[in-house]
Amino acid sequence: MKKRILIAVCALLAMAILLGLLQALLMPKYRTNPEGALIGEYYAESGGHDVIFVGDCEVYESFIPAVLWKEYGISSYVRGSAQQLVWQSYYLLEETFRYEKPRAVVFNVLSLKYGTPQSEAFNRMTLDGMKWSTSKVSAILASMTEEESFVEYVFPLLRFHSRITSLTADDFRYAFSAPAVSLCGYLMQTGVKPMSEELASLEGPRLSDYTLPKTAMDYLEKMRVLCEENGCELILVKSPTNSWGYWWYDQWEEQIVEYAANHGLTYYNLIPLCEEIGIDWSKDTYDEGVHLNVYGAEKTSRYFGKLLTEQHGILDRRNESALASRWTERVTAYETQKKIMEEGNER
Amino acid sequence: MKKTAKRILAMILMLLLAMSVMACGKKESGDENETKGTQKGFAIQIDGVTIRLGEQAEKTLTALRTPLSQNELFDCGAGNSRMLYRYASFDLYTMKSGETEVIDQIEVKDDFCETEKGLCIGAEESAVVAAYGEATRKGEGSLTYVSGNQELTFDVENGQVVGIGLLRVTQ
Repeated sequence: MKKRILIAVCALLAMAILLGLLQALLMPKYRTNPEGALIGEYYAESGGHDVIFVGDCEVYESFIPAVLWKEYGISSYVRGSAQQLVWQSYYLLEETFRYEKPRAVVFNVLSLKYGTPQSEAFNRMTLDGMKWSTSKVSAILASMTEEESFVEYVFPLLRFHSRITSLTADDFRYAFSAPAVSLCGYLMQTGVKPMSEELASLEGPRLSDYTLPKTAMDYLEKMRVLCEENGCELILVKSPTNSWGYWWYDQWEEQIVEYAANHGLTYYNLIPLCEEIGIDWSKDTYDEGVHLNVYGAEKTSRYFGKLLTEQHGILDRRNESALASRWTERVTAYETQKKIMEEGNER
Repeated sequence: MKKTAKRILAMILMLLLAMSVMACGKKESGDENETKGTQKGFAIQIDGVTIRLGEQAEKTLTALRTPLSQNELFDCGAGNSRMLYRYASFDLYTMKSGETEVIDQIEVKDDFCETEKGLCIGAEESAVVAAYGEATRKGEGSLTYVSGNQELTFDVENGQVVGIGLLRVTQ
């Protein structure tokens, strides 16, 4: 009898290991589509940040922690991901507060336009990277589209089993660990693809309803309360980009300005400040104005870092030797990567 | 002993089979929603071409003249993209997902285009009401008519139509 139990236990264990290995192999590695790897990279770097950025692509393409440190001694991290929905930002923030207590959280407001889950591909890019916690469970439940099921998040093997026929060398190489694609959450782009005059003249298409969805605004309110409970200032920002497909409408602006005023929050709309920031749309974008490249993000980070220092009292911590030493490594890594990518562009 | 091992092996195989059936049973996310309202709803006409929302774009784009410009906007990280085809008299927006491209929105710019009821920019507000009845929504300077998931909006200034927009309402 004992022997049978032992065999059964061993068999179950072997099956669990086998399935675990298979799952590690089949999970997407997000090497060619690195946006999906961003969220998972936080855990190795968690702790010691005074500013945390949350939001969609506009945060991980506009704000560079290495620049904020180098210029102002601000220790920060970007917890951004592709089309990060506001409830995902909320649960990511809830999780972040378990790892550290930043002085300020900066939330990019563009994602408030979405009031319902959008697509599984985007959900996966944010949710799969999160460590298991009540925050992750809540984020999944809030984010799933009708076609998705919770069990597939618990056992991603069920979702990705069909990848078995299209595995690449990367799937084997990075099955258990992969080098970071970001620098403290910032995803570097060194390419230049200017915004044409025609594109610059385009505005966003007409909408049926310009009211920001209630669900989104409710989560913004939850985020505000969460920050308040954690003694942290919530700062709202709209990144400087404003292309026709990701247009920031005046009606949305009015709603955010009103919300910020009603709750005593600071809101920075950087779109009308592009000239002051120094953004040149013929050089500072890699995709015709949809996102900033590293040159535009450097300018934006310098501008925003000054605001964080002067208006929000974020401290210069360059005199803390242990922290400074870690950041020196990060700044060096940033500069090295920039140089390598620039050389790659020249070839 | 051998029997037990066989039973366990059978259980493992059954579990794996069940898991793969569960995964394969997943509904493919098709384009059902994309083609809703194809046969009904509003339309914009220009040079004998009728443009309807939700229709496959290829046929319409072939029938229309070459656009002045076309711009593609990718969703960051996902496979979908939105296209904007600019013509002298109107802007045409489509949604592209894989091989499928459907007409999503039309913005009329001058009086060369007209609605399926013959209304164009410059028409009197009263003519709009006569043709379409009372608006579903009356905004400040606009009359909006809703049919299924489609909205036809007339921008009105001083009693005259100055803009026409046709769009699909999505979540």
